Amino acid sequence: MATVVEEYFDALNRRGFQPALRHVGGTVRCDLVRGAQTDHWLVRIDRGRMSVSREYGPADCVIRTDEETFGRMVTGAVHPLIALMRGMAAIDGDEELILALQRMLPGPGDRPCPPSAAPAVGPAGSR
Amino acid sequence: MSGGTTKILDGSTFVLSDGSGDIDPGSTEPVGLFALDTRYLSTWVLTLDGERLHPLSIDDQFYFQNRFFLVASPPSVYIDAKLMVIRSRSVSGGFDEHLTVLNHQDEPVTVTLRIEVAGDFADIPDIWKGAAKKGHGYTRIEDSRLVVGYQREGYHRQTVVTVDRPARFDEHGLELTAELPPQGSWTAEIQVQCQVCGWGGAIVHLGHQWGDASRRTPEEMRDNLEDWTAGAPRLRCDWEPLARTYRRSLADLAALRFTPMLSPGQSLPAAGLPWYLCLTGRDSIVASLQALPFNAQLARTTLRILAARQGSRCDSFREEEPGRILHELRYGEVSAFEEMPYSPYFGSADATMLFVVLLDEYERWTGDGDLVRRLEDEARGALAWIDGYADRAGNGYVSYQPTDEDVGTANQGWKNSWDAISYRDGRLPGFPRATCELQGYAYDAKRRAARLAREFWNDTGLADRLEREAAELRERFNRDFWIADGEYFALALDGDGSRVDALSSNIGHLLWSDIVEVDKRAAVVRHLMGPRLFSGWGVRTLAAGETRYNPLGAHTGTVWPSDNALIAYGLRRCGYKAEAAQIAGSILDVAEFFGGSLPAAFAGYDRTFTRYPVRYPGSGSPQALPAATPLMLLRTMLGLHPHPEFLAVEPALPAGIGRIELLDIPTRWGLIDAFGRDRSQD
Repeated sequence: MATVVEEYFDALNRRGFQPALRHVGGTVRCDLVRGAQTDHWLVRIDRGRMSVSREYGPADCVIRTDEETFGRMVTGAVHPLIALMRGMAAIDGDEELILALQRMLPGPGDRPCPPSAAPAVGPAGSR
Repeated sequence: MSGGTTKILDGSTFVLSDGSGDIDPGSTEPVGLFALDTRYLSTWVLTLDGERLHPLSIDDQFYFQNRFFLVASPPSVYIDAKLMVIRSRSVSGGFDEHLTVLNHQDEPVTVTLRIEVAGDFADIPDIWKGAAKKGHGYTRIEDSRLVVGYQREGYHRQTVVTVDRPARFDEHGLELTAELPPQGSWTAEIQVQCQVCGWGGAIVHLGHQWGDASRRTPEEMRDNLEDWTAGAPRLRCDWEPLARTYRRSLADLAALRFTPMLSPGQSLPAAGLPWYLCLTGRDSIVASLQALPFNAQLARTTLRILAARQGSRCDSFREEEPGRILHELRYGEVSAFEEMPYSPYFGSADATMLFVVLLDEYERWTGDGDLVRRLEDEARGALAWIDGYADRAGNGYVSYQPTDEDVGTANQGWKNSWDAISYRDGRLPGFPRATCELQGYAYDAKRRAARLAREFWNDTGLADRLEREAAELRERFNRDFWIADGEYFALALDGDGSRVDALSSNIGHLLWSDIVEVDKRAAVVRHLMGPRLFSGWGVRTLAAGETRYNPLGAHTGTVWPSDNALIAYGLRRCGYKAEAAQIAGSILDVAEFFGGSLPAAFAGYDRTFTRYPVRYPGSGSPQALPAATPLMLLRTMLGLHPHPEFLAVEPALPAGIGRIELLDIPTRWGLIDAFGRDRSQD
C-alpha cells in the first residue's frame, strides 16, 4: 500500500501543468529520513510543468525532514513554517521555491474552502 | 543606571538598553537584545571593580551603533574621573561590543570588568505578561565561549558570547582583567550571536538583506547607509527643519529594512520599534506606497514578498483565505507552538486591496510591467477575495469579523484598537463591520486593476467588468454610507446594516480613493478642516464631541501623521490644494518639535491649547509609517503625479515654506527635478 508521501508525489506528478507556478522554474529535492535510510524525491518545475522522480541529484533547493513530518505537512496537519521554526525540517538553497510549492498544500481542514471564489456565505448575523 | 532607553537596530535585530548601555532586568522599561521576535539577552550589565558605570555622553548618530562614554562614579563637579570606559556597540546578527578603558593617571592600574549575562528568551507578544516558559533554559561554558540557550521540543534558540582575549566564564557571565600602564589604554572585543538551531542541530541563518549578518562591520553598514541615502532624491529648501526631517526619514526607513525568513536578499520596511520589527502587510504596503517617488525598491520587494505569502487555503485560526494578503508574521515561540496565530496571521481587511493599489501605483512610477505580469495571478486572487470572502455580510461591501476576538484582531482596518469603531453615543457596532475606508480602497483597487488588466493582462473583459463594478460600488456607497443631516460618511456599517454615525478621519481616506461623488466633496472637506476634526496640528482620528473622544486615545482622538499624509494627498487629488498644504505644513511643524522624527501618533489637543505637540504614550520610534509620511507630504506639496507620458509637477506650498526643490527623482522617464515656490510671494 502506498504511503501518504508516495501518494502525494504521485499526485504531484500526475498534475502536470500548474498555472499558478507558470513563472516558477527549478528543482526541489526532498530528503526524507525513514528509520536508518533516507528517501530522495526530486521535484522539477519547468515554467509550471511539474514532474517527480525518485533520485538523488543536485537541486536548487533541498528540504530535509523525516517522513512522518513531511506526511503531516502535505496533508495540512503541520504548517511548513511551523516545521521550520520548531526544527522539524531544514531548508537549503533557493528558499523561494518552497514558498511557491507550499501554496499548493492543503489547509488544516477545519474550514473547507468554497469550491470557487464565488462570494462566500456570510456568517451568522448576515442579511 | 540612567533614565531613558537607547536603541540600535538592523532588520529584526535590535537592542534596547539604558543610558549606560546596560540591559538591566530591573529596568521599568522593557530592555534586551531581540531578534526574530525573541529576547535573546535579558541581562547584560557591565561593572568595573564591582561598580556600575555612568554615562557622560552617548553617541547615537547611526541607527546601528551606539557609543557610551562612561565613568565609574556618578558624574559630579567635585570628583575628577581617573578612568574612562568607552563602550561601542553595533548590531550584526546579535551585537559586537568593543570595550576601551582609558587610564588618565600617572601610575599603572589593574581593574576587573565583569558582564552579567542572562537570556530569558521571552517572546515579544508575551513580553508584558512575564509568562512562565514551557521549555528549559540552560547556560553552558564551552572552551572559550558562553552559551545561553532555550529549548522546547525542537524549538531551540541560543545566544553565544565570545571574547577576543582570555576571559573567565561562569554561569552568570564573564570577567576580564585589564592591566593599564600609566596614561595607557586597554581594549576587548565581545561578540554576541543570536542563533536559531534547526533540524539536526544545524544553525539557521537570520534573514538579512545583504552580506553575512554575522560579519558586517560598522564601516560596511555606514557605506550601505550612504548608498541608500545617495539613491534618493536630493532635497533643497529654504526651511531647514524640512531638510532635517527628510534626512531623518531616509535614515529611519534604512534602519527598518527587514528581510523575512525564506526571502534572502530582499527587504521591505518593518512596521517599527519596539514591538513590530516584523513583516506586516498593511504597514509595509502603506509605507512603501508613501515612499514610492523616492525609492521604488521598497514597493517592489513589498509586493513580491507579500505575493509569495498570499493566502491559499482556508484556516480559521490564522484567518487565512485564498487571495488574502497577510497581516503579521512572527517567528517566536508562541507563534511556533500555535498559541498565537502569527505564523502568519491574516486578520486585516485592508491589506489585500492596498496590495492591488500599490501594484498599480508602482507601475505608474517605474514602468515595470514585468512585475505586473508576474503578479497577475496574485492580483486576480486579491480581487476575487474582495468580492468573495471579504463580503461577509453578503451586501456587496468589504467587512471583517475575527474568528476569535480574544486571539484575533477585533478591528481589522488601520484603526485596530478594540474601541476604534463606535457610534456617536459610544456603542460598539456588531460584526461583521464594514468601515467606510475599506469600501474606498475596494473601489480604488478595482479601478486600478482595470487599467492593469487592459494594459498588461490582455483582458479587456475583466477591465470592463471591474470598471462597471467600481462605478456601481461608488453609487451604492454614496447612498448607503451618507449621513444626510450631518453631511458626512458613516464610519462604518454595522453587521445589522445600521450606519455607525461617528465623525472620523476615515472620511479623508475616501478622498484619497476618490470614491466621494463630486457634490459631496465640499461637505467632507469642511468637516476635515473644521474644529472638531482638525486640531491645528492635524486631523484627529475621532472628532471632538463624540462620546468616545479622548485626545489620548489610540484611535479615538489622537492625530496620526500617516493618516494625515493620506488625507492630505486625498485633498490634493480632489482639488483642495490649500487644505492639503495646510495639513502638510502643520504635520511638518510637529516633526520639527521632535527633532525631525515624527511620532506615530500624538495627542489630539487643540494647537492653541498646548502650543507643543504632546506625544502619544504608546508611540515608539523609528516606525515605518511616520518615517515615510514626510515623503508623501513632499509629494503632495509638489503636486507630483505620474501621467502615462510625463511626471506632472504642480506645487502648492504651505505658509512658511517659500521654496522646495527635489532633484533626481527616480522615475520611468529617468531622473527628474521638481521645483516648488510659494506663489503668494510673487
